[in-house]
Amino acid sequence: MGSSGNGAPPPMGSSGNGAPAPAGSAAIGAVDPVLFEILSSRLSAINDESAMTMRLVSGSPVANEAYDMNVGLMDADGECFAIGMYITIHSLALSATVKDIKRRFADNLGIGPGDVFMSNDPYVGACHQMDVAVVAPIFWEGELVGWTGSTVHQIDLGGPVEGQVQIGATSIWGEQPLFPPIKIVEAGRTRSDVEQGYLRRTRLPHLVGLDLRAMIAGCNVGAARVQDLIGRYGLDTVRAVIAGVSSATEARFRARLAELPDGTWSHRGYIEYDDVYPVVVEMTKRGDSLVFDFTKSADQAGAVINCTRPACVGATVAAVLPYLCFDMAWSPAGLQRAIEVRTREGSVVHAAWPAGVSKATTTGSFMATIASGVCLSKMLAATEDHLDHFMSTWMGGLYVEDMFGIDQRGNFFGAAILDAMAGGSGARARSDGLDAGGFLDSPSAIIANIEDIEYSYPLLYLSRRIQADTGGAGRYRGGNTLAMTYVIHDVDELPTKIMHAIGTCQPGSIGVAGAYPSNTNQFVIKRGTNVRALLDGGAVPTHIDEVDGELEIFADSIARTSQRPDDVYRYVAMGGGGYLDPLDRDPRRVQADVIDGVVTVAHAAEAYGVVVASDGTVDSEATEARRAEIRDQRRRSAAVPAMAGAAGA
Amino acid sequence: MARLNEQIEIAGGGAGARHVCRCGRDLGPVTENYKRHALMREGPVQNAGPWVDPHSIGGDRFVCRQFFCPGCLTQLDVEIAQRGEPLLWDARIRMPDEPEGAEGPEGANGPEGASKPEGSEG
Ligand SMILES: [Zn+2]
Repeated sequence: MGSSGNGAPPPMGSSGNGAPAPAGSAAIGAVDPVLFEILSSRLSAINDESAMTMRLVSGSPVANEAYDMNVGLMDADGECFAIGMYITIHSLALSATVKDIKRRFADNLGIGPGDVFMSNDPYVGACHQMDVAVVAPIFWEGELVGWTGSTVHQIDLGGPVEGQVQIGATSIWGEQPLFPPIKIVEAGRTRSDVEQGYLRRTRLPHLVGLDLRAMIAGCNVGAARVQDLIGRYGLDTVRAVIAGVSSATEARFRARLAELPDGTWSHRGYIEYDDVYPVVVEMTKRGDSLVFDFTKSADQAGAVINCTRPACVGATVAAVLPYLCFDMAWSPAGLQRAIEVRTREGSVVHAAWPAGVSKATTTGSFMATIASGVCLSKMLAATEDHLDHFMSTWMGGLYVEDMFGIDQRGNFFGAAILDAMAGGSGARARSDGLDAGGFLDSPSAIIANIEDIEYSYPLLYLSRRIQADTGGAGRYRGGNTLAMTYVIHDVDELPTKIMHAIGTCQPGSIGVAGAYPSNTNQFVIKRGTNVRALLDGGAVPTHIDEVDGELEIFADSIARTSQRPDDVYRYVAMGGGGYLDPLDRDPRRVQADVIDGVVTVAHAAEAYGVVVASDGTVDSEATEARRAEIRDQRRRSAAVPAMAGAAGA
Repeated sequence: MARLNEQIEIAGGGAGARHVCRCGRDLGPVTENYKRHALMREGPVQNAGPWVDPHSIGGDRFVCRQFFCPGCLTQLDVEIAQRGEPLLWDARIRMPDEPEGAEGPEGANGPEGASKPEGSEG
């Protein structure tokens, strides 16, 4: 995974600093170019089939309804040359786990046909303890020729606190048990002692057990299909294609970088926890290589919010993929030859043992992706040639709710509600971000149907809808996000409800080139309301303001509470950032947004300076006056830092 | 023509290249943060939008810094920062004919960029 440590130059690939070779021409060697395209596409299709197998075998709504999973294919050395189109960071972490297994099992137990390994150890390669990596070697006539891997986010793997966030942990010893790589299947036979040891530690053995089978099934399908391919086309051809995929991606990626301006772009993102932890990145692009320097990021916390170095490297690549790799095969191994990631051990994005990382994928590594993405978006904004591919910041802080209790059927249950993955996308250069457009980490993000959630868990949604004014204002605005309101249903209490997010005090989805950022993540409960009386009377209050009660506001970014039948819970996820000064937005676009209910009349006047009358028409004269007034306010309220001698750069 | 983005172009070349607003207003040399040459307004983070920390759970820890062109008053950037943090130098184009070592002040964004603001609780 990239070069480790600080200061080492990025490993250079075949094309160096000169003119990049045509994509993959040298790499595919003797393979016919048409056959190369067919087989490289086939390898992607194998990933798709592995992922769908995993999804169908898993009973977990996390995999089945929210696609919080992914798969990857690796070469014999563990270099990942093809990833599935789900949560990218899951696959980007597989390579480090395979490389560890190759060392760890070389002399003791060995690696043989039909073996499957698993690990949730973040200091080996897992993104955090909940993202269990299952990997399997692919053999052909007794020779190791590659690896498949799969990951599904788990809802509970033990530890003092139910679910993901180990509240109160001061090191990794207060978090979920670690499984360094272990052999779960040996020569095609599941080792029941190992499986039982794994499942003994979770509060949800049935669900976690099924997910384990699902991940093994995903690996089995991947391995079998690669073997089919070798049987049909021969090992030498498939090997050449595997090597060619990464080389082609490297060549295309270096060519893409060479088209972009040289420079340095920086961002500071923030993680709210017991203190505020800045994730600072300086991205320097020179010629056809890219350096991400995170060394100025905050020192690590004791536990919970950090991520390990493999997760930070994966998080960086997870941002590069959607911003720069829209027309090439997603081969992390190819990309990483042109990318260097510098980190400082002991920091929030490069945890030093034994710091805890239980929430890493929504804190340290999530912010590493967002911060890298902001830099990449500003680099794209600096060239007319690639303006079509510009995207402002996507949902810059993911909210998740873990819940545990007795469900409507009287059974113990645990769940992760992932509706906030609907997020909101960043503005494009000439169009708005998509409302509830998802998030950067997954090209296939979806959220569960309300009916599926209500069937599985004791909840009744009162509403789930686009929340106006949550996308960042700009000439092109960021996508708005969702607001959700629900009560518990058919149970006396939801005893354990853990709400956690970053971006509760500040908006993570920053705007670009004069645009505003998105909203912040928000969660509140109105206690002891009249909601039951309203429902009994046939009314359905869809907004928390429509019920009477006492509003409880949670000041911390992580909060543990319970919910009673009269309590109404509301959360607002995070939208996307905008692009360019909103005073330049075409008033007709603002008018259309007001008519659609995605921008309010008040926000239209405040942020865009557009006055929309009660009949829905734009008052042009009033708009001109309002915009002049805003510009005048800008002039009167601001000063030049260089003149005033303000501190800073 | 080189540019930081659609609103800030770069005029000239080599060591003498300068940031210029779309209106023609000079915004300083490329070896300096353009924000230092813009108008800046710093206010509560809630200035960033109607749904930004509406219950003020973050107290006054975070601020919203808005930067405007002194010429045409176009908003050039909206920066979210902890109170007291240095300005973020968010975009720095390197000109093709720029001499080596014209980077400007080393460490423009830290390590103080990662430090806690004064008066914050440990
Ligand atoms: Zn101007």
